Amino acid sequence: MFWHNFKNCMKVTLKAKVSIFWTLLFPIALATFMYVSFGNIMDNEEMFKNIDVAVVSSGEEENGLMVVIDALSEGDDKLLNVKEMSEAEAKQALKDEKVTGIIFADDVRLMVNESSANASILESILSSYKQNEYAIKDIMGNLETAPNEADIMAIMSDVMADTSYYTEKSTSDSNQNMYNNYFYAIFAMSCLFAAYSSVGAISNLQANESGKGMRKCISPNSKIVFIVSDFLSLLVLHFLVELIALLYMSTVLGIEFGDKYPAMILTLFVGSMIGLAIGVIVGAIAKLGFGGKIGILTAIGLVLSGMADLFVNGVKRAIELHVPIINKINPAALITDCFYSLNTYDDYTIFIQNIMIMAVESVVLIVIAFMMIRRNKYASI
Amino acid sequence: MGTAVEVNNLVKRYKDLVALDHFSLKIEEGEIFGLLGPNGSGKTTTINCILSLLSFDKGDIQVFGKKMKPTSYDIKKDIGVVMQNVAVFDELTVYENIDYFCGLYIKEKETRRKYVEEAIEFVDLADYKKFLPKKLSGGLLRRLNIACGIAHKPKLIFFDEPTVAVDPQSRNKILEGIKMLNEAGATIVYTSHYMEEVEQLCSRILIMDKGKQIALGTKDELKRMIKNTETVSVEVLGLGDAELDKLKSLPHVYDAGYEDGMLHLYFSGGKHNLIRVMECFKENNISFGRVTSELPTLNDVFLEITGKELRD
Amino acid sequence: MQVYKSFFKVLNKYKGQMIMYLCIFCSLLTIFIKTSSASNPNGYKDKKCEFAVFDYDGTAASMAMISYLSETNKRADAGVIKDEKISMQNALYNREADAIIRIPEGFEDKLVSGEAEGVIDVITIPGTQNSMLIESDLDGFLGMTELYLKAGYSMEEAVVKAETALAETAEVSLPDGGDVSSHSSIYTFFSYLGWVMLCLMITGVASVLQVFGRKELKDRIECSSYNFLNFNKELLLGMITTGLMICGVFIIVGVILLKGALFSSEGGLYLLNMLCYAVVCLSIAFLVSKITSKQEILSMIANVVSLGMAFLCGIFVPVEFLSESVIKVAHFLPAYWYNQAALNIDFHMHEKMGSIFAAMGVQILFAVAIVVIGMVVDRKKTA
Repeated sequence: MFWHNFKNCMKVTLKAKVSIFWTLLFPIALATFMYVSFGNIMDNEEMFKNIDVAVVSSGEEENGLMVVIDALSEGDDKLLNVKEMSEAEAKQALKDEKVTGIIFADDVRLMVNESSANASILESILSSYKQNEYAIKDIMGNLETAPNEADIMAIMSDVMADTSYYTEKSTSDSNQNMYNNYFYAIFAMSCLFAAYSSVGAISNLQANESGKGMRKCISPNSKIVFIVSDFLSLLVLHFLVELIALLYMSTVLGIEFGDKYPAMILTLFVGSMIGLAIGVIVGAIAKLGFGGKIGILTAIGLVLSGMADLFVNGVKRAIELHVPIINKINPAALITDCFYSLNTYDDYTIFIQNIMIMAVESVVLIVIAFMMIRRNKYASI
Repeated sequence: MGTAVEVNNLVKRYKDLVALDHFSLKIEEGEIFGLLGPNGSGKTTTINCILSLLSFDKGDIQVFGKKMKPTSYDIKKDIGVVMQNVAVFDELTVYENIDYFCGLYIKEKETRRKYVEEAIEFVDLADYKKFLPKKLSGGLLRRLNIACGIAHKPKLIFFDEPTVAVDPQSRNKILEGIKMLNEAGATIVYTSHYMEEVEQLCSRILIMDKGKQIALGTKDELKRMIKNTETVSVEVLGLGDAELDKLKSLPHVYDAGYEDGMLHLYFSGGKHNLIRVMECFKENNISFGRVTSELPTLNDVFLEITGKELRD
Repeated sequence: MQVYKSFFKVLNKYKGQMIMYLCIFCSLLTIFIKTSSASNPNGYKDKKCEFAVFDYDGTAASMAMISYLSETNKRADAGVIKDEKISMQNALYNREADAIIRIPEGFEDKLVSGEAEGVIDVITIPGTQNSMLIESDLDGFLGMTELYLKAGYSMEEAVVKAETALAETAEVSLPDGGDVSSHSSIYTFFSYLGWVMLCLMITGVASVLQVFGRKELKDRIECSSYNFLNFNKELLLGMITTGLMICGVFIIVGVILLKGALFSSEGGLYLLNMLCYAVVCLSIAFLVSKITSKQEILSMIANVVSLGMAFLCGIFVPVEFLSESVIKVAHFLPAYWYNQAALNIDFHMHEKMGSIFAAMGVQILFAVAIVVIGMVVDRKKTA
């Protein structure tokens, strides 16, 4: 009976092609969208070059800024693409969006159309020039003897040296980049979405929701057998979906997930488990119609994801400060924390702890669901 | 032969509506038992209570001499149900559907394969094995629904209006099939609001309305319960009051009606009622057209007891 | 108007669900506004990095650096964090600190002798944005200090002067003389609305439309004397009414969140843009309801479509970060035009009035096209 129902559940799920299609498309499409929109940022060398900028300079004064600007607009990977213009020309060019900004070299001032990343880069170039200019003037002005060529050169080379004073150290051996968090978020959401398929399976088990449920209820089988075999069957399928998504992200998109693949795969497995278990418990609520259950699942998914920073950063931290227990229960937070712990720790204590919590939660949810529908005689069908 | 189903004093309320009102029932093994009643009379509710799907407020239900509970798996394995609504997986083929539902009862693969094939043979769906349900016509779908309910060869089968929306040919096939199942040893509980089917099929009939038993017995017993034994209808034009009075005074006539050129005479008992009517026409020189004589139907039984037609 | 009326009867059944979605999305919007206005007015620059310090040097140089970093960033309570791997890992994991800075003994001497390259340990999760902020602050301060040291100043003087020099910033202005702040919160509100509205309309409205798409019901309506076009027209009308009600809710939320900012010519344009976009969202909901009849798939479609647009059209990731090819693709997505209009309203309301209205027009065209596709799909399915 167990395997019979297991196989059947798998067959039915696979044959409902539209559902499988969207379940699989969800992580893959989202990952692709994110990848192409972050692609530019992730690939730092491609980024921030050839910023078109107009320079307005009277050309009379001796101006160190022009030296800096010239230095930045040389070579293949030049940062700036400079055109010298008159003020009127420059303003027209800015209006026509031919240039990102206008640098007024005489008083080291910037004019831009709008706040943007490129504008910020221009601003930081100018600011850092101003800071160095200030420092150099300050030093020169306070020299007891008149500055000689050698001193100036020495100071200039110090300014240009761009020394880095720190060594970045990681507490784990994984090599991640910050955008991975977004891909982890996709996994978390797609695990939570697994709930949609289990809620359907549980509805097919209840006599007041479907004729199929009636048939199952009058058959000489315990409901726990149905629940567990449906659950395991869907677990296998969803785990496969997550694996395909992982494979797609790491091979087709070429995202570096580090070398902790076994741990990631375990996370995806347990994540699918908790997602399905949420669907099981919602499906077991007898009084709701199918539409209501789907609505509740969507709400649960959105709220849990929101609390786990999947849409906007900062919520999780606020929760950690005020009610940390929520982060220890929220499955979406636990899934992302599993990945996060792999980046933070070089051992698996916390990771395993998170995995255990999710596993226990899944079992508890399923047991409660079983209690709810075990001997359910229905008040009306 | 023991008792297949025994229901005592069953009460089921849906909020203010009393669906079953101290309803009792006893079905012997081997019989085809008919539950007859208009829509909403409580037939399906009774079955669902027996199957332990519905909770009820009062009463006691035993199946095969044992108290029926949701976990009475030993009883459940001998029960088959053909539900009113078609309940199959849209994603699975005819064969796969029957195999799945049969597999909920029969673990052993070889036996199951045999049973499924037999069920397909039984409902005559051999040509449609690989079809998906949505490709089947209404009648074929009904037959699939039946196959799903009986493939595991249960000893007690509930048919809950299996012929709704089925054409006459398919209906006859279904009814013949049910007889065959009964001959093979199964106890059948058949609900319907088609009295012809019940008359044709059932050894004993229970008529219910508003959650109560109205009458119980074989069809002859039921018909004997009412005054009417024969109704003679005659097509006749221009019948005068005097002539009508004469006809009414014939022996055994207890009521008569004349309307739109159609005369109805209702008899209670008596053997040669039609001949006496004909003689009376002859004596009075009344010309007449078509003449029919009808024996009472279950509808008449229902009508006389409740004062309303069986069908809505 | 039979269909129109029954649309609302059906909608009434989904009342609870709609209110639930509205509440969730409104609270999401509120969180967006709150978190983005917390980092205003200077965008990402003011994002504070929380850091903890272990100072094993304890010299003027190290203390000056710590005090400088504490001004530009937020110093976490280091009391609970120990200079042990586990403790640091816990601190990073629990977000008690984004970075932990360890200043080794002899740091000042090395700085004076010009051998300070790489001496300070920054323990963090590599590549996170917050840690990059503090790293660049650290380099800026030490570079400047070293410059002064080389020029012959004492350590005490050098750190003070370095801090003064770093206070210099370039002036940035807009052509019309305005100040460049980053996006106003009214823009943030409407920009995120581009995602929220789409997701809400698909999950909320499409589920009602699915009811009318049910085969039995549709067959019945089709074989009635009701004209097919009228049927769809009334459905659309019902959707538009619903859309207006939802827009009304968002306007109320906007008034509460943004205070009076909506009552201006700028606000008016934003609202007009929102209405255009609402029409687009409704048309997408209409199309989606024709594609699938399963409720559980709706939610996934809603997320794929809305998040996809949000990423590709400049709502979640600013347009200038997107590559040329992505932007080209985005031109074929209505959310791009919605966001462009909002961007232009934010920065150049007066110069670009023409392109603002053009962007709204494009949205309407998209809506019409999507509705037509929806009807064609519908016909194909019934045929």
